Amino acid sequence: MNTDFESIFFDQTIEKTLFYSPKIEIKPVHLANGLFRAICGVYTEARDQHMTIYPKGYPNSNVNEQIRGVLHSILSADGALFARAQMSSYTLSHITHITSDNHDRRTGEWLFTILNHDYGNGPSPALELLRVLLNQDNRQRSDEISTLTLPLTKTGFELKDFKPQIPDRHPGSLEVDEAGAFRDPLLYSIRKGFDCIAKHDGGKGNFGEKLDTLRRLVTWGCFSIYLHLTNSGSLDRKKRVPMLLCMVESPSPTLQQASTQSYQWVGRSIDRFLRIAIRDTLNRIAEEGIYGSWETDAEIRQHIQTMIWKAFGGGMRQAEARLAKYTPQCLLFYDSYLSDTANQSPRSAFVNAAADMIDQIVSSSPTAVARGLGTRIGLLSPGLYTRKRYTAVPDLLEVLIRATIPPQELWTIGKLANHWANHYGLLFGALGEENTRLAEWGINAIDGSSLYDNTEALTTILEMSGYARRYADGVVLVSVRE
Amino acid sequence: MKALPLFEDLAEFYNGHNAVAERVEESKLQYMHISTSLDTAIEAWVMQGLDVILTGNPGDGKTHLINILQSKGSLASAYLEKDASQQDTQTILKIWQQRKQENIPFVLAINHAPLRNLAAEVRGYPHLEYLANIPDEIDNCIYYNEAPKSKLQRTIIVDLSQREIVTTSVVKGIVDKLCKQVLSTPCTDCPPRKCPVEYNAKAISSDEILHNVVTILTLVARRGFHTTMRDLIGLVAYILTGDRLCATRWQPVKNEDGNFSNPTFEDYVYYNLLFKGRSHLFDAIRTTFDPANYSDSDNDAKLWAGVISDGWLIPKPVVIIPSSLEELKILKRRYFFEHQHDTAKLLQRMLPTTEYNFGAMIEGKLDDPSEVENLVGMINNLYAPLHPRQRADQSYRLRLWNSHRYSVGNPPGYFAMRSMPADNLTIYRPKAVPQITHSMEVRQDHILLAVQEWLPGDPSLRIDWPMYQALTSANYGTPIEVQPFHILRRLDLFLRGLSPEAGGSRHIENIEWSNHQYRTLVSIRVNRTNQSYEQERHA
Repeated sequence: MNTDFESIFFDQTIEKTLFYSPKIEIKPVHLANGLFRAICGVYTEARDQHMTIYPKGYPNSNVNEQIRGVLHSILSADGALFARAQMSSYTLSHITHITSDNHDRRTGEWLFTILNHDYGNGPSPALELLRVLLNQDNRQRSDEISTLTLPLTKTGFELKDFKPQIPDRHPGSLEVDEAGAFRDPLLYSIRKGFDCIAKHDGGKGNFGEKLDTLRRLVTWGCFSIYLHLTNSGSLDRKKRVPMLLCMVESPSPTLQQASTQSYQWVGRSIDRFLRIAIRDTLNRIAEEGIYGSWETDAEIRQHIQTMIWKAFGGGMRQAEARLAKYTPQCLLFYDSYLSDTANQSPRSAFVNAAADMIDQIVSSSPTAVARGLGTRIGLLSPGLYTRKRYTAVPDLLEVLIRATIPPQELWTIGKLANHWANHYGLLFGALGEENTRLAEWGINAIDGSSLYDNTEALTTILEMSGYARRYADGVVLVSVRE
Repeated sequence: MKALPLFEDLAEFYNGHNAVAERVEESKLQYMHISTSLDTAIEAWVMQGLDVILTGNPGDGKTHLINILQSKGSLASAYLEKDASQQDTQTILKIWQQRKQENIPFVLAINHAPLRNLAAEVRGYPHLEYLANIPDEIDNCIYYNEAPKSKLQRTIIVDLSQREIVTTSVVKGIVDKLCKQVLSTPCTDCPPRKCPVEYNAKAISSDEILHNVVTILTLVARRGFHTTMRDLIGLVAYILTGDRLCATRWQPVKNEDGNFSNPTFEDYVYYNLLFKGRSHLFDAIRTTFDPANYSDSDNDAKLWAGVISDGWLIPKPVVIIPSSLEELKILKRRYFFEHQHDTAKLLQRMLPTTEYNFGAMIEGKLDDPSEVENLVGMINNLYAPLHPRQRADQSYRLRLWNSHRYSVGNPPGYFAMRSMPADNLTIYRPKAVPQITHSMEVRQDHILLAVQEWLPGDPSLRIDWPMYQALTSANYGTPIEVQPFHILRRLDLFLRGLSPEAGGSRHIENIEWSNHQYRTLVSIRVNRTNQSYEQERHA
């Protein structure tokens, strides 16, 4: 029996571990569509709506061209509106905008599971908040977008039930212990962020505030996925991969370099995760014996020679010429791991060769997916991926603050730095022990004045955004003041 | 040389050592003290048995003030805590509790942050629990509409960071103190009648010239710069001495290019020194207004031609025809400070319109309802830039603009479904709460655009210099994409906050869509009941 490489060593492996599948680019709007769909449990078949907002594909319409132009501009603001509704994710604000588009790669469902988890206080208040905001009736629609599309769902519209794909026995990333608590403490950091944002934004929904709330929760969702991927290969669940924020406009070389180095740990962490996951998969299938034996060099070479690299079921079919290159390439990788220098067993050599092949087989590697998501929420600087660094834009900083500091609380900048470092791995300079933390990851030290300037820059942004107040003696207090 | 003990002190005042009250000998402190109405107010409060908290930022003069009043003996009946910022909070609270029981007034000088800590730790001190209201009280030191009721029992808080010290009387007080001894002892180091310190002292002792100095400092304050007493004394010290003793004044100095040159009299004249010093205040002056850099349509050509020979307040040295642009710039400065003219009118000619209008708005010289319409028009125009002839009702209704996208980046446009008549908004100016209103002037560097009958917590937009500048620049065509994020954030907060005031959902909604890149505005009417589009209109 020939082995289907992508299906077995990526799709099935991911399904059992992460559950969400970072193999094509995920935009924040995809995640919004997927998350809202999982929360509301429905998606729409809104033929008239889609035809109206996509004038390029459907030139004939009863609706005025000018209105169609405006609708197209608004609903395609995130660049995910295409000819087919099931391939589109609108810049949405209402249940009637949710589509069956699966570009979120199940991140929405994964986040929903975290939000729905009851660890004593019931599900997250974010669930109810989002349900209320997304289900506003025709009279109550409070935002401009859902009001503008109201006439488009009068006909040709049907709500369809969404069938969750998450198995009863949770995948590794959502594993719970005997008491029903998540094993991975990172999930609680994610969950608390959602809860905190919902507490700040609860009771809102009037006009502009509704859209703000939707954006904040989605941005936090994207940050959560990024954070989870970043720590996916971490061996110590209590330790976070560092993310050094570079907040000054012209950072010093040491700061810039350290931030880039901390970003490079995302790739390493994901790589480590993949190698472990593929090893487990290989051990499992070897044990089950469905695909024959995977013990000797000859057996593994035979598997590689007969491997079906990509399934042809999907719409994105790869060129024959490209497919033909995979076998010799995998053999090259395999041989290198078997060589005297690496000196690995045939099975270990195959695991590593398979992990090296993943980046070429899938449309976007998991690292590229994380990078794209991080850049789109403003966590990573734009530009060449080799020069990326962490730099939170003011909108993201706002979300981080609202996800961290509970209502009515006043935190010092030091307390904030401590919380961010311990829960998310975010560093910016206020801790005073950044270099020690970074050294554990082999990241170069930063000069003290750069860290001081960096903290000042972040404080200034918070101050200008109304979240921080600077007092005499350098004391900075941060709070969410409505 | 000006063989005065004070001369060295002047330099020390400029570079800071003498400006920190804790480090200065009492005699110098006494000498430099500028008495204001706050002094008498504190004395009166202590006499009445009230507790007094002086708070603010370092350099605001808290400790200095207590030291002065203590040496006068006017605070003898009170317990004084002169630098509570250095003390343990619990110790202060214990002493305060004790003094409270003994009915001894407690006078406290403390920075903002430790004062907040003190308020946070007050639980457990039964007679002082009301101090937990301190943070609110600090926030309410300034009010806009209705004066808030104090929640502190028999306690007065004075937030010196809100005090405006750039007033003619305070600056004159400093000038008089610093110039007195300079003018009383002739200089023996400089050539006769060529000592720049003497020249500067004589000049800035003149009321007319001092008024022009204060005018520039007021422009700086209006832009939001908080000048401390320390800054101000340092500034006067520097523009008098140029941070040099006369004994070394005329020695060659190293230029920026590394060469040495002999200093000239002009190098040490106050009207040049004012734009040369090193401190945040000097930086602010340079970026705010230097007469050398702004044109005066009435006089620049005359100065260039050397035809203005009359009206100079200090005729010597004789005004010469400038031979270079640099000399013209120096002459323009001299003209601004030393020529008899109506400074207000001169400023009107020289200042950019934005700066002048901002000043007029702050001072309340304009009609407030018209100014509200002007601001509303500018806010609308920032989100929906239209050609002037298309701006039909931009000034009469404030649209509550919004945008939406999940990824970072510029939105394709802005929309608004709600609006509010400009008549529902008004302008408020900052005022000191009644208990301290007679003791200090508060900084006038902003106004508040807010709903009628505004109360703290209601939505408001602080129109300060950066906001006014952004709105004006948008009106002149600066696109929203390049506006600073904090400006947009503040506007967002204001517009969101107004949503509940703009009414609920309507049977027919009118949604405006602004494509700011193409400067178009589209109105779409949606009938909620029929789920249909009504007649559209294109502006």
